[in-house]
Amino acid sequence: MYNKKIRGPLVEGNKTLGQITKDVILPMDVRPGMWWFIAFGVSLLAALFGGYAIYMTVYKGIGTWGVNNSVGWGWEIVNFVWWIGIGHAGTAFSIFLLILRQKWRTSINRAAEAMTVFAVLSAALFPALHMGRVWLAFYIFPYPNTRGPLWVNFNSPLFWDFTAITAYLLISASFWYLGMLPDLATVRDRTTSKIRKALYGFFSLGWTGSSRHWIRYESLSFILGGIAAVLVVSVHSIVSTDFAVGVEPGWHTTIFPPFFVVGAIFSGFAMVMTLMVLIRKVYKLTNYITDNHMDAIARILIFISLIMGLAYLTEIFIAWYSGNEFEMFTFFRNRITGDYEFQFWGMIICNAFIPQLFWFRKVRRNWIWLLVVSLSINVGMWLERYNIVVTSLSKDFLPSNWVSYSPTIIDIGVFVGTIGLFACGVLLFMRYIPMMAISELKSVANIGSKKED
Amino acid sequence: MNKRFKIGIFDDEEKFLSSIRSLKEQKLSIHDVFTPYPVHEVFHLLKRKSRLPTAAYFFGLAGIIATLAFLYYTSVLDWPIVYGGKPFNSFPSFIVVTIVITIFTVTIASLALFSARSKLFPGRDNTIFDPRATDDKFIIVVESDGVELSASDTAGDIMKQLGAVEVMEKEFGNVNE
Amino acid sequence: MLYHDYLKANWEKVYFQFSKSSDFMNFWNQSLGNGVFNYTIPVGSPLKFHGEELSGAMKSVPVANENGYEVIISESVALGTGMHANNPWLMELPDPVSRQCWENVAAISPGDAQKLGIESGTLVKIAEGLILPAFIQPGQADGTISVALGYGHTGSGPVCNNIGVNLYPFAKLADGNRSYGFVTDKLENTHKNSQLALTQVHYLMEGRPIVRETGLSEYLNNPAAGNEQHSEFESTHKSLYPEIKYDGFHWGMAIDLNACIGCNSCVIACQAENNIPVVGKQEVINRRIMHWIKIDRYYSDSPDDPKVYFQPLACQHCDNAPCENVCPVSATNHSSEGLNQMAYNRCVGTKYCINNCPYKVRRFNWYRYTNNKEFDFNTASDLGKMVLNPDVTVRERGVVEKCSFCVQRIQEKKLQAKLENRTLKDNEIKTACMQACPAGAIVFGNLNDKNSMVSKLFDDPRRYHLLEELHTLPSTGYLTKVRNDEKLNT
Repeated sequence: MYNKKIRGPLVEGNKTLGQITKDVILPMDVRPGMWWFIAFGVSLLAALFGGYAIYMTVYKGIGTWGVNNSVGWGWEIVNFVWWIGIGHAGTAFSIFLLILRQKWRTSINRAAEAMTVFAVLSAALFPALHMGRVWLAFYIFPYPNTRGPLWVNFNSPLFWDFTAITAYLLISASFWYLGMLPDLATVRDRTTSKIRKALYGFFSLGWTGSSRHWIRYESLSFILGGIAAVLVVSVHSIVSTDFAVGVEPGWHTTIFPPFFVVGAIFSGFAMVMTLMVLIRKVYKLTNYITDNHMDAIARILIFISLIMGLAYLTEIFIAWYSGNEFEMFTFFRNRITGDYEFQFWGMIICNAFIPQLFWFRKVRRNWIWLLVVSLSINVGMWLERYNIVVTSLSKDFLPSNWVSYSPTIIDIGVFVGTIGLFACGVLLFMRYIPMMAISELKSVANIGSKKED
Repeated sequence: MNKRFKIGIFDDEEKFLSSIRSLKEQKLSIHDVFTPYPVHEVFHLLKRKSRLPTAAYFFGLAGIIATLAFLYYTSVLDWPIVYGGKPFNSFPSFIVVTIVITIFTVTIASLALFSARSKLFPGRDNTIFDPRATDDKFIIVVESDGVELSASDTAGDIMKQLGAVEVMEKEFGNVNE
Repeated sequence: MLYHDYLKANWEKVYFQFSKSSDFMNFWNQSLGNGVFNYTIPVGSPLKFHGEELSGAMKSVPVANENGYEVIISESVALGTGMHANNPWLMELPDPVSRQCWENVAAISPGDAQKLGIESGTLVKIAEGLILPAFIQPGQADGTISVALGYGHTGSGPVCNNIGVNLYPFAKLADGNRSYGFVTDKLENTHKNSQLALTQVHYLMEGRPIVRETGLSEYLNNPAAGNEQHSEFESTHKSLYPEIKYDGFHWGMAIDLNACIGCNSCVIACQAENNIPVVGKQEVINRRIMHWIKIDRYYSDSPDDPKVYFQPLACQHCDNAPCENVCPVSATNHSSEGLNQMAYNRCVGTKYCINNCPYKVRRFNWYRYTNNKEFDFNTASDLGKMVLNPDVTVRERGVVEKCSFCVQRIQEKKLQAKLENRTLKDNEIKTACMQACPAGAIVFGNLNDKNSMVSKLFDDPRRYHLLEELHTLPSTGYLTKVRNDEKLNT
């Protein structure tokens, strides 16, 4: 299964089980460095800015945003799709790599899943805020009411979306939490602080590591993993139907579901890489998140980048091949050329060209390069969503309705706010939750190490 | 009523497994074993089985049927409304919701069942025989009550012989498990 | 002398002679009570044509020299002389051709604009004390500038005060005639910019069959000329789903593009009938005007001498409405009479329907436009609220709204017919736009009644639907424009 001679050991430095526990829990035991407090302060400020923007939105109305009669969706939906995409990484790591029997996922999946939860939380903010009357958001639940009962429209992709996002948030959070159970128990059993003991004792649900727990735990993990794999694929497919079901040129295409899923995994993996580069740098966890790990993610990114490039070409080809004048206009005169060409070419360069640098081993093993490329992929994916949402709406069927779109400070504020929220979440996670799945690391500690030779 | 247990602590997976094997050969009753990570060999040796997958299958079946029935009832029987010239029973539109709700049902129901069967829930205080089980030690717990003294000692001896770092006898009040 | 006395004296002098009453006070009180006095001028009145004075007036028309500019001061379609400038509806009514509102602009020709490096919105100095934003108007003759009257009030009310520039000081009296125009030697580009409140930014049809057109002789040869695509699309009219049947009424509207003169009466009528809020200049700049019906204007041919097209555009009430499919809370759905209806109270404002409407005729309440001092146009004060139509809901912030085919009028007439125990007559229900249209371009009625006016217009070979290739099956049909300019061209 795992050829250590080619791939190298999964955990370097010949660690014993006890050392693993100690290494992973260490950041929770010691006071974090100054950088942590600075980073947390900045994130909190960003989140507060977002809070102000959200307050203005809810207090005054959606009019505070840059959207208008023709471009009904702007930055907020771009950000929503972007965050949801990033939110695919955790589950994709855990599930797809589990199915593909990629053992190297073990040191990364916890952080990736944490990222998923915070990203999906950030994402979920947007559809809610985007409602003109957010205080009536409960109308979207099909519950028996005194209005008929008036149910909801089950044909609406937005309802599908709502169901999928809610389910995805709850399921990925449960999956994350379930994976954390044994580690929370580890913290509980090691700590000397009474408060911690009580707190982690409460949240570890009385885990003892008995064989009766483990057998059910394993089988539950498989069940959740198996069905969550379907969910991961379906969530972003459903997000894509928000567009694909629409009639707008550039939206109404059948390529969207796979295109969105691949794109989501692309941005998710890129975000995982960004975080991992930083985590292993600041916490010196290079024995666990090895160069080989980063190498493996980089290889996956090249592959997905090629798929993305192909998808872009396919879209353009089909727009031309269909002979549909509206599609032709959208792609050739409003994306490749025209008012939005910067966003279009930015997307192509960031998503299809820059990741090709990963063909070079030197790039794959240099943390600065990894950071640069992974960040540029995230920018590129944001631009892609901007292209899809804004360009199609700004110039669609009737030229009398053509307008341009630009965001306001409030739009920017909400986006910055979610980045702050996400960063706050990640920083708290680093501080209070074991950053790697300790029990899983232990089970692979011997694979590929010298001990087995 | 207090219960007495013989506890063997191992720091090596192989030694731990061979101890279980020989305890089984001696027909000594192993109360339970505790490991820092799942050891599949243990499940075979102690014949631990989980019927969670079967239950999950039925949760899924129930989820599909209930969702489709609900969608049909609300959109066709209770208050049919025309949307964009589509028929009331626009089945293709229902598939998406059905898939998601089914997945959701399976997850939540399986979690609930897991929590109930494993007795793991917030505030639960299960007996911890030795706290090192969640760190780096493999632990075998053998029941000493109602067992002849010699048998209990045999268990201790076997574990010690096969490489336990520590063997001890402990008494517990209410054993939660 | 009080104005009241003056008025009375004038009435006694001018109108009393036409009354049958013998006592002036009786006549005065009666007319006041009635609010109106009807009279007919006797035949053979002594009014006569004064041709000689006309030539005097012609002399006062300014003629510029080669490098100068003729400034023409005109009445705008919305404000006229400016008498009603404080009416926010009129302030926000876009000019039919320039599609611009909320201020007066200096319309200059594309050629002059290029020469001086002016873009629409550039502030230009026309004369001392006359700085206006430029607007490049295709079809404007080189060397001319036209500016509308009626703006620049200082004491007429909160809506119109300090908006635009007053042009009356520039309309000088000469030889007893008021000269609505003057000559200026220089048009100065100040290199400053302002944003224009435009309601339409793009003015070409990009070769899309939006307004279909034919010439008179082609039409006489083939009544479906210019509309060949319609039969092509009809022949591929197929659906996987069974077609929905409308048993009773199926409301529809026919708009004759040949009759439409682009006057905007329908826009104001709709605004008055349906309590449509006025949003102010900044929101118009943000492309958030609320009009349910608007008149699109397109140009073709060269910018120096363009052909102009008008197209009234409101909700098309599609039978396969894309907007209905996507609303998650079923706030918009289809009625059994073929109406695309909106339940404002149900709407949570996802704006998905706005995006998915290919005609982009749905409007969103971006802010609270009622009881809000920031939008002090009509509905922020108790007095202003008197303009509201009690039959129509005032929409809350955050909901989507759009043309309802005046559903309140449909219901009213249906109920009346039911009370009188008779069937509804054709043309009994008039939507506000239809009622106001001076050209009879808009006809509303029941498509299921083969003898109704709208059905007859739907049978006209000129009929087509906007974006019919999308198979949205609109209930609104347009009639091809037939242009009769053959004599002009030869």
